[in-house]
Amino acid sequence: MANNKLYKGSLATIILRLLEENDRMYGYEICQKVKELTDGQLIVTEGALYPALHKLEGDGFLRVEYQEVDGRMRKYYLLTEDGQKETASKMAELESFIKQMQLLLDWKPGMA
Amino acid sequence: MNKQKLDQDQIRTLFEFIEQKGVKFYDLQVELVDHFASAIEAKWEQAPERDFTVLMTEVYRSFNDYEFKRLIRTKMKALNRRSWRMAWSFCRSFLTWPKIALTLLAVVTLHQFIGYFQNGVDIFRWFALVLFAVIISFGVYLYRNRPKRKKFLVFNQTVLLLLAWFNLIAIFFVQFPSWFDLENTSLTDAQIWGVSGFMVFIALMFIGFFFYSRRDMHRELEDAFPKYVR
Repeated sequence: MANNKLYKGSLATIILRLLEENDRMYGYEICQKVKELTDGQLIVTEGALYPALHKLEGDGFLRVEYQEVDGRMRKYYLLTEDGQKETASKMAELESFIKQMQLLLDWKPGMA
Repeated sequence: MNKQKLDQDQIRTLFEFIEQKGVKFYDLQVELVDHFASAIEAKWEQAPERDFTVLMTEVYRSFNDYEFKRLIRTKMKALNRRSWRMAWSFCRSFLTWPKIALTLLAVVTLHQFIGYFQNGVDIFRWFALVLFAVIISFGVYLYRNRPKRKKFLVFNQTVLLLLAWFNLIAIFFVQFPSWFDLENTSLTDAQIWGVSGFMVFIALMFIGFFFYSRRDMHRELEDAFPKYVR
């Protein structure tokens, strides 16, 4: 099992990235998608997911749609225009962070 | 093979269960019920014979009471932030052409109006009086148009909270002259300009919150919850 603490700060980026690829998703679907994509190594807990979704909604990066499915209401999340920009910026930020981390991990004493 | 789905009685049981756990807001209940239902149906795919109530408790364990309370807090904060953001963007739009002409006209008119008061600080009390009157009228309007159903949305709570904030602003205006010992002083022209600008800003924020931002959230919710949003 991956160390979930390492992913904690990236939850918003993960959500935005998934929505960028999937048009619209609901909470449970996001949890399952993350589990599926990481072969069950990363578990997004419900307690972390929903506050993160609501925060992104409050910040104007997500909008919502309701639809009746199997006799109950389902709340779908979609990216707004600002959300698309935020996704690009968060992805660039994360990629740069990974590059920096890689440099640190590859560093050996005696290297410049 | 048909997948096993929750029936209406089980969905009702989920609503009751979530409400018992302290989530009184209907929109949050809807989201959680769907999550619980999806999780239970996924478990039924592996073992269709498993009991609904046992599965419901199992899904709840991944949340717990603390997470439910945190969820309510974050949802309220998020809606609050959204209201502020929208009201602020409405307000900012009055600083760009051509609306800025309207803003300037309002500030100049108010400046002239304040000039008619012998004691300039009286304007604070007049402004508070107008603000109280608007808040009370709006409160009466909300009460008369309250949802027929008892269920409450986080949105309704946010509107009430914002009204309380404006009430505090009105109280501040009533008390302001005595706190700063301004009872018998007259305002300078520069101060009158400042006060006029500030009052126009407060009025724009009020309109931004209760008409622009509220209307936007209202529109989003009324399709999904026609019986709960008025």
